[in-house]
Amino acid sequence: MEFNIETEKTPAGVAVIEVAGELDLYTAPRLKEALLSTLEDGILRIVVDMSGVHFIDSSALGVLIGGVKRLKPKEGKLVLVSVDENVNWIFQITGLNSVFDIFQTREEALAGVTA
Amino acid sequence: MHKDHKKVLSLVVPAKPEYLSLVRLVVAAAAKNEGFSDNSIADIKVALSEACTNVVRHAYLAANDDVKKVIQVKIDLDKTGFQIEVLDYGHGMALPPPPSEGLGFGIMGSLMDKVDVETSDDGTTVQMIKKVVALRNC
Repeated sequence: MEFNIETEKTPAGVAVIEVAGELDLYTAPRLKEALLSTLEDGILRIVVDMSGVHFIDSSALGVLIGGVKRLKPKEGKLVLVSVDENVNWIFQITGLNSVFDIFQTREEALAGVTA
Repeated sequence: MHKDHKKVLSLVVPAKPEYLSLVRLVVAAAAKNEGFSDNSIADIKVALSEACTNVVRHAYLAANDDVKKVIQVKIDLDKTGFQIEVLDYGHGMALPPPPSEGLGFGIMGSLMDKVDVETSDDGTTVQMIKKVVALRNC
């Protein structure tokens, strides 16, 4: 499956990183690159929209955890949109569902990241 | 679900990140062919990916150029379940795994019914078994 990642900025100053495809050791560096680029732009509210992600492993989990760690000292926030049952299962078994706010829709995530 | 006779499948790919999706695709197709549920196949794919990721990241860091830097995946299918072996020919690994690999091994252990690791100076084998009845489907 083709991997795609795009970043857009909302008028409220939130970065939305939309990811589609499989997130593994091969593709996770592109997510890291997008996150770092967003942070370099000084954006501290980030939504990673993984509505189009149907596979994730620890490579990408590590990148997401890294994003949260970088944002925390700056009082920033990173939230996720994830709807895939198997992806959400991985967050559940790793306990990372308690680390990340995970929303079902982008609209909910945008409201959650600015709350 | 499973046939009585044993089937064996072996796949060798370069130990590079771009080959992981291919390995998952082949193994998922084999599991699908054996009648495993979509949830079980998803579990197998992630566990497999974690084992292969460890090979790519760590197995050949200190290897000479004359060492074949590959991932070998063997699948044994029989009536007891779906057994996957992920082998490398690197320098072995520390047991228990260091924290940098801990999350991956934790995921493997959560998703599969059994995970064993054998390691030596000649390489590492991670053996994982998914039984016919998966935890999530009980």
